[in-house]
Amino acid sequence: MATTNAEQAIDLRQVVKIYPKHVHALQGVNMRVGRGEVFGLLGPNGAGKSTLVKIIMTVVRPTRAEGTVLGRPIGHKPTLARVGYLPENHRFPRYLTGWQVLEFFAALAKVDRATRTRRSAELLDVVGMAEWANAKIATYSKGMLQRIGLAQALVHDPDLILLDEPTDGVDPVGRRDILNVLDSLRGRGKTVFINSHALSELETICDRVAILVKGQVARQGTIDELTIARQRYEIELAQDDPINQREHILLAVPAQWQPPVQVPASMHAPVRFIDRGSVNGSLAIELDGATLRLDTTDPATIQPVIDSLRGRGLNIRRVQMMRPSLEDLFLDTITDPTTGRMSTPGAAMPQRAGGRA
Amino acid sequence: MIRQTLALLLDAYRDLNARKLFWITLILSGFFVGVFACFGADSTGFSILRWHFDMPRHDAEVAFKSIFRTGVIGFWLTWVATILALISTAGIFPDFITGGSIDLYLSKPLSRARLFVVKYFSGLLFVALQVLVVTVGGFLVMGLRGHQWLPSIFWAIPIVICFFSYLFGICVFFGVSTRSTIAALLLTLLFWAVFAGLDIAERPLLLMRNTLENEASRPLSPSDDPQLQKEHESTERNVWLFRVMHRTAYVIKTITPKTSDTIELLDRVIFSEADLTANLEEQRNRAESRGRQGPTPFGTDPDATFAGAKQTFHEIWSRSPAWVIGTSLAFEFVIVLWAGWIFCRRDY
Repeated sequence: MATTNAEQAIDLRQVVKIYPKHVHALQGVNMRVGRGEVFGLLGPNGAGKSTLVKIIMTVVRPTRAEGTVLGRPIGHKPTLARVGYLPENHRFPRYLTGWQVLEFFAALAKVDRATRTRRSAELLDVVGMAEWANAKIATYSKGMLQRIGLAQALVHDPDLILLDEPTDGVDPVGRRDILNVLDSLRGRGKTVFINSHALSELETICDRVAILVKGQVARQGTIDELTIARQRYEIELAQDDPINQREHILLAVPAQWQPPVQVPASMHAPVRFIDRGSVNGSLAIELDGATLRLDTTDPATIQPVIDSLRGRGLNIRRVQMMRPSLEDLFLDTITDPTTGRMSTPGAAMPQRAGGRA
Repeated sequence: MIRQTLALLLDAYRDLNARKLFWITLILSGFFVGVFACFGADSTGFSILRWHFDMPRHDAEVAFKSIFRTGVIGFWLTWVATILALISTAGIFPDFITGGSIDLYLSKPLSRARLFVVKYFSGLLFVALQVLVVTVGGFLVMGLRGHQWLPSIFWAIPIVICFFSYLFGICVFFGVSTRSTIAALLLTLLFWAVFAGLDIAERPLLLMRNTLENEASRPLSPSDDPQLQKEHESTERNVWLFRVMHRTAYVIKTITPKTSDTIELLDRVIFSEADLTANLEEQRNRAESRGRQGPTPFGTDPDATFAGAKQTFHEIWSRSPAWVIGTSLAFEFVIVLWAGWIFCRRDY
């Protein structure tokens, strides 16, 4: 269904940012965030997430950009009075107290004295910093700074709030508090745009997400839209001899297997192989260790595979329809299916003569 | 708009208030005013604490004002306090444009240009407060201890702020372009040295030009010694050379900040031209009484040198404040405009 600008808090079209030395940070980003939504922006390091947020907040100038923020063109300064922003690694003046920080930034957002005094007191209470209101910022811990940062982003009662890693460095209690605040903002019809690596948190709070890879939106939609489409059956076999077992499974399943893909070692796992293929040319199948994954939600489709495995004498430990988590979706999005390698950190670099990046 | 500007100015004051160096400098400024208060002048002479030295009233007054002009303003405020002020304020822009800090400001409904301008002027607050304390203190001491109530001394406030702003403009330019406090500070000190060097170099060139012009203008008869005629021709050649050299130095000086000349404008509000001319006469008389009637160090005639010195003094004294401050502020305007352009166009 087509939506109008009035229904969109953020409507970005063809946002391009090329930094000096031809670093392509954003390569034509199209993104829409509806009013009243909690929207999550994910992506590996250097994908361009912060650049995108900074373009919205006029901190970075786009090479090319069309679209609107709260119905006004990108870069329209007066609109920022209705936008709250918590940057990543923010640095508040260390000589100010928590209370003074809120008062100061509220004044910069054109809030009158009476309102900013009232809002500052309310928000210090909301973020659990009332007792520290008169202590200097220099004495705050990272978690306390994040709480004050969140209060600063909300002090002028904005309609749109952009938060860059809001729970970074915050303890579990603080994280829960921050998520509660965001949830209450949603309840009040505010639009929240979160840029974060805390995928489990985003999964619980976001209505919609976008995954940015190398300056392009790789996926965008509601979490349900993105994950239901990727539901699949998993058959886990009892592991005995991994090498022989792989051979047995490959022989047992009546599939056309492709040459295995070597997955490089990571911090969490050694080098391993993933076999991919298809059953009857249509059902995609993947063997990863002792787990078979079949891209189907139809139980009837997997029965012949189960029969084949059992026919070979292989013991099945578990058969389950799996819905990928946001983390699975994220990892899947940033992984090259042909090489099994994850997207390297950093923006897209220009191709040099000779084809080397 | 006013609310935002006031908030930024209040923030600048809080920033200053939190800097130990600001308070140390302010205390030292008070100390220098206190030292000045140890001196006094009245109709009978000059005094230091309880010691009194009889001298003519006018001489005592000039000596008393000279201590304020040379010691408190000349040495403390325009050298030591300025260096301390530069050390303290050199980090304002590099800190301000650091990632995580600048984002908080640019994300507010406030144009970059206004943010830059307000931040720039708030950086002058350090010196403004220092010079205010010194000037008010100096005014009171002059009135109470010297029996001279000189409201014109308050010209020191805009003059010293102007002088500091030339340097601060350069500091801001390098701070914004290099993002480094140390680089901004060192390059500013280097430029200050260059400007002071230009000021210093221009004066002896002017003195030499005037002295040689005086020498060359002496009439020479055909019966004069051929050696003397040869020397006269040589002097005429040197006049041309020094005219070119001085002209070059003067043109360069015109387009650069005149730090020394700006501070010397204070002489015009504290002293009269006659006070300073008398000082020149006195120097000549002292030299004569010590028997230094022979050639000067440059080999010029002592009479021509003295006439040249007087001429030089009058020429410098008659330079208009509009030229001294106007051309310096024009330089500052260009450099600050350049810094502002970088600030406004940059991605953070």
